Amino acid sequence: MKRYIYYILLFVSGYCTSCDDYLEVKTYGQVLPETTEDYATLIYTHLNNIETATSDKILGNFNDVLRFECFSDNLNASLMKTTSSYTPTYVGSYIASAIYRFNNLFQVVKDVNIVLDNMEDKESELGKKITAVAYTLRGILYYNMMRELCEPYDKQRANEIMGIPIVDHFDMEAKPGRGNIQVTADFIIDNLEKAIALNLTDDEYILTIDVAKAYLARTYFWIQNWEKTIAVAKELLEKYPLIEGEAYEAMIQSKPPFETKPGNMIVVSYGQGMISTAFNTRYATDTRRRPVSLEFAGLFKEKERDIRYAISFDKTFLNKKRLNMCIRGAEMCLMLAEGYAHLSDEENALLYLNKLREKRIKDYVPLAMNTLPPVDPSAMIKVDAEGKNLTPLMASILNERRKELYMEYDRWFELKRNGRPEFWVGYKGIKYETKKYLYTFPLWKQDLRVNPNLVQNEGYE
Amino acid sequence: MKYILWCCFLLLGLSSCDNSKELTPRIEEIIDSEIVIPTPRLTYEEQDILDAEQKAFDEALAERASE
Repeated sequence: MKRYIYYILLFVSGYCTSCDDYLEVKTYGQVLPETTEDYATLIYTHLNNIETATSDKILGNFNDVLRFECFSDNLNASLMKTTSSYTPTYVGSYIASAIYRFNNLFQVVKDVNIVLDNMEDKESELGKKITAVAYTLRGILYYNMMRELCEPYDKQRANEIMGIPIVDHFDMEAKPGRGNIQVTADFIIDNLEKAIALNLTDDEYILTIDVAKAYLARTYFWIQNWEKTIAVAKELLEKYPLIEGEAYEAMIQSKPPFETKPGNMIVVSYGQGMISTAFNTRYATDTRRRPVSLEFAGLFKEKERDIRYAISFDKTFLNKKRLNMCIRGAEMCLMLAEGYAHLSDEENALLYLNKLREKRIKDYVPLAMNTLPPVDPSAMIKVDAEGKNLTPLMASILNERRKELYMEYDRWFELKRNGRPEFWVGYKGIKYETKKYLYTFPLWKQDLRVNPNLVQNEGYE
Repeated sequence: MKYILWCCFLLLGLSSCDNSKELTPRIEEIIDSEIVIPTPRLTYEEQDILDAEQKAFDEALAERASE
C-alpha cells in the first residue's frame, strides 16, 4: 500500500513540475516568413492601408483629419448644432481613445522590425525596395509618435523631454525606457536617411525616396533645425512646384481612385478604392456640424480673390474642403518661409511667402516688410516655435499656413508647435478647456504596467 | 522513504512559485485605467462670452448673405 502512495506522490509532483510554461509561446529562432515575398506581404498590408485610408497609423485617414481639426481652433465647437463621435467637442473627449496610439503604432513597428531583422535577401531588387519602405515606415511611425506622445521640441530641454522608446529589434522580452526627444529625433533621421540611401523611386511602393525626404524635412522642421529643413524642402519644392488656379482646386477637391498622384502631391492617402459611404458622411455631414471660426474666416482678407476662400467654406461658414491626407509642395514652401524667418533671413522668408500667395490670390501685390499686417493681439498663437513673441513676418507665415493646410491634419500640431495655447469652448452649459498638457497624449496604463521602464506623460499621472 | 517524500514536497513547492510576479492584470485594473478629464459647468460670465460670440456669428452670417 505504501508503495502505491509513493508512486502516486511521485506522479503528482512530476505532473505539477512538467506543465510549467506550456502557454508561453516564444518565437525564438522561429520566424514565420521565409521568402522575401513573405516579408514583402507584411509591408504590403501597411501600404494598402495608406492607399485605402483604412489605417490611422501612417498618413492618417479622413476620420483623423476631421477629429484633429475639431481639436483645433479652425472650427468653432461653441457654435455647433449637433455632434457625433467623429466630431469631438475638444481634445479631452478623445483622450480615452488616444491612450491606444502608442500600442497601435508599435504594432506596425513590430512588423517593420521583423522584416529588417530577419529578411536575409536585402540585395535583390525586391529586397532593396522592401528594406527602403521598412525604414521609411519606421521613420514615419516614430515621427507620428514624437508629435503626438512627446512634448513639443525645445532646444534647451531636448535632453530632458521624454522621447519614444527605441525598439529597433523584435524582442518580446525587451522593456526599453523612453529616453529623450533628441534620441527619438536622431532615430527618425537615421531611419529616413537609410531609406533615402536605397533610392526607391517606384511609385507602386508609395513610400519612395521623395516621401522619405518629405518626412525628413518635417522632422528637421519639428526639431527646429532650420538650415537642414531649408536644404531638404528646397529640393522637394523644385521637384514638386506650386500649382495654381483650376489645377490647384482640382488637386484639393480630387476624389479617388487616382491614376496618378493629383497635382503636386508628394504622397497621398486614399489614392485607390472608390469613395466610401464613411468618407462621404465625414465630408458632407460631419465636417458641417460646426462652422469655421470667424477668426479663421477673417484671415482671408482678399476674400473671393483668394481661391482658398471659396474652396474652404460656404456662405454659412460651413466646410467645403475635402478632407486631405497628403504632403504637397505648398507645405515645403511654407517650411522654407518659416525656416528663413527663424534664421532672420527676412528677404528669403518673404520670397517664399509671396511665392505661395501669388499662386493663390488674383491680382496679387507682393508683401514687403513694411506692408506686412500687424500681429493680431487676439490671435490664438502668441509665440513662435522657439518661444519668441510673434513678429509680423512670422504671424503672416503662420496665418498663410493655416489657410493653406486647413482640413489637412495640420492646425492642431501647429498649435502644439507654437506655444500650446490654452483655450476653451462651451457646449450645452459645459466648459471644455484645452489645457497645455492635453497637447501631449497619454500612454495607456496597461503599457506602463507591462513595461515598468515607461513613464507617463505629465498631467496624466 | 522519508527523503523521497521530502523531495516530492520540495518539487511541489518549486512548481507553485513560477511566474508569481507576472500576473495578467485583473479586470478591475483594466477598467480603472481610463483617463477622465473633469469638465465644469459654464459660469454666467463665460455664458455671456458665448452669447456675444453667437451674436457676432449671426451678424457675419447676415453680412455674407447680402454679399
